[in-house]
Amino acid sequence: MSRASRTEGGAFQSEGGAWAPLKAALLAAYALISLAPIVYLVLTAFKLPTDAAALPPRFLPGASAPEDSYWFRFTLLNFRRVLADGGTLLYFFNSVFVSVCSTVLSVAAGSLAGYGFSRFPFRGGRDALFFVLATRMLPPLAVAVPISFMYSRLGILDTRFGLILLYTCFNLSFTTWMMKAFIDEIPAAYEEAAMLDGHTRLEALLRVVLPQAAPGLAATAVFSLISAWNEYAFALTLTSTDAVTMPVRIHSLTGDTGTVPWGPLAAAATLFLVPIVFFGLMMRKHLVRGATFGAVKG
Amino acid sequence: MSAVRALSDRAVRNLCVMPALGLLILFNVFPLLASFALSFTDFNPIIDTKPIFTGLANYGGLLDSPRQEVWRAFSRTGAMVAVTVGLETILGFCVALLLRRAFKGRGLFTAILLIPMMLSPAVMGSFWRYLFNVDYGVVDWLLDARLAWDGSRPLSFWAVVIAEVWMWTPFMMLLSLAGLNAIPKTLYEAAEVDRAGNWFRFRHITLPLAAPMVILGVVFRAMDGFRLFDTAMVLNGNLEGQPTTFVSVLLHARGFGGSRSLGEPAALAYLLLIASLALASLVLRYLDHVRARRGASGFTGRGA
Repeated sequence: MSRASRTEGGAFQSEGGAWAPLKAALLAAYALISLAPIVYLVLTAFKLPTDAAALPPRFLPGASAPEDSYWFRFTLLNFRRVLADGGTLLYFFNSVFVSVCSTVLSVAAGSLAGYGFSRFPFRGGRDALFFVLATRMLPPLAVAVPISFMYSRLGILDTRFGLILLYTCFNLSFTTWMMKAFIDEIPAAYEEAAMLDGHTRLEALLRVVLPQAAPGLAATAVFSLISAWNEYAFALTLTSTDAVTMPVRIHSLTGDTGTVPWGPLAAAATLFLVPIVFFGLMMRKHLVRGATFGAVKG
Repeated sequence: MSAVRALSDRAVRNLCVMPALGLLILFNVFPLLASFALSFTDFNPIIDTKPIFTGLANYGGLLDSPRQEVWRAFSRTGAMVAVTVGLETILGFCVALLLRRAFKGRGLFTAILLIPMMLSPAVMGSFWRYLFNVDYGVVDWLLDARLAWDGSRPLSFWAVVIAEVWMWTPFMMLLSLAGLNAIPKTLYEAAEVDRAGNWFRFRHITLPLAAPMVILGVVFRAMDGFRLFDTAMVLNGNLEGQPTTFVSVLLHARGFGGSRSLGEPAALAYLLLIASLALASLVLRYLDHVRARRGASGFTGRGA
């Protein structure tokens, strides 16, 4: 298979060149609609409560906000409020710590398992692989009830350690399947040559196979990190104070009734989105490659 | 080092595969067995008395409850999956068709379109509640109406659909794009020679050849859709009997909603599990069938 990225830069035949301006306009419209909620979220983060609850909606940041205009008074108050709350910093740290640790662990265990399944086909291996995939189909809440029970007996309910273990597990089926697919593409002859040179299999794995699989490793890590960063159902059921992560915290700001502090909520959400969007855009090639490895393989 | 060197292939394989399998068994099989056992009892963690075996009472209670809430939750979930995945697929495929032509900055543009799927459903869902607010929400302002998008009105169902479609259309776009880009250019050149029209080329080349990738996307999205929890919970809470009380939401309402027994939610989890496993294996089989027709390796099959 070709390793060249297929979605970026490649020239393809044009179908109906005369329609190009219309196509461009449609694309621009889609992009606008798709990004508008995010832009509005970021704008709301800089609004005072009166501006956040004003109609018509206020889109334009300014020094003052006249009645019935589209202007709002630009303020950093929400960010100050959110950052002054010690809880936010803890929850942010929890999110970073839990998602990074679980990504590292699940990519490591998934790479090993992917290598094992790829290089040593064994009886029942296919079933084991299907079992690995099937764990992904379980609704999180189907396992959350017994796991919360198990965690409370083990004393790791509401701990970062408990969440890391669980997130490692829920990403494991994905990382195993991805890494197996990527390692399948690397000829076994490479590591056999290294072993003939006197390296052990583990050395060959670490020094030959994994460097070869680096693009796949990156793609796998990107997706694992995004899903761990965004996970909500487990975090909601298994944490209460110490290990709460940002998605749970941000949603808890909306409460059940009464006035919701939309400004601080938007500010917290903005702080939460920035790292993952930045990371996602930086790793965009891997994101595209990772999501499409099936097509490239076929 | 000689000890490591002496490891047989079998030992290395076990060393590789066992940590992952062990973790998965510990965190999936054990809880499943536990909830299987729980589903036949009246165990209540708050009172924490010895569980009493109640036979099939939990299952029976779920299936013939007078309000038929379980059946309704399943049919709501099915409807929601059909609508959202359908819209995502059509929209995503159309955008991918538009993105197919090379233009300057296409890579970065595509990446920017992917942003919604990088965001947390729970976090963006909380913000959608603001956008859907009846008093000062932008959505109602744009529609020039005063519609309540939450509570027990049917619109709350559509609020979830809108938020989900917004978030996951980029995913379908990405997979469609991959499918489209894998179509050999020579096919179009041959069609050109035969003077085939645009519609013919679309109908007989583009669509069938991009289909396997699109179907794969549909499988992933449907699997996620059947366990959808975040968006619905965040937009409309976990009350029973709402248009957004999907199976996972109902499970949460019954399992964490009060001091009731854990037996019933465990039984419900089992019903959901059986339904989703049956559906997933059906669709995977269909995908294998589609791929086999094209001579490519199957999804569940071994690549090497």
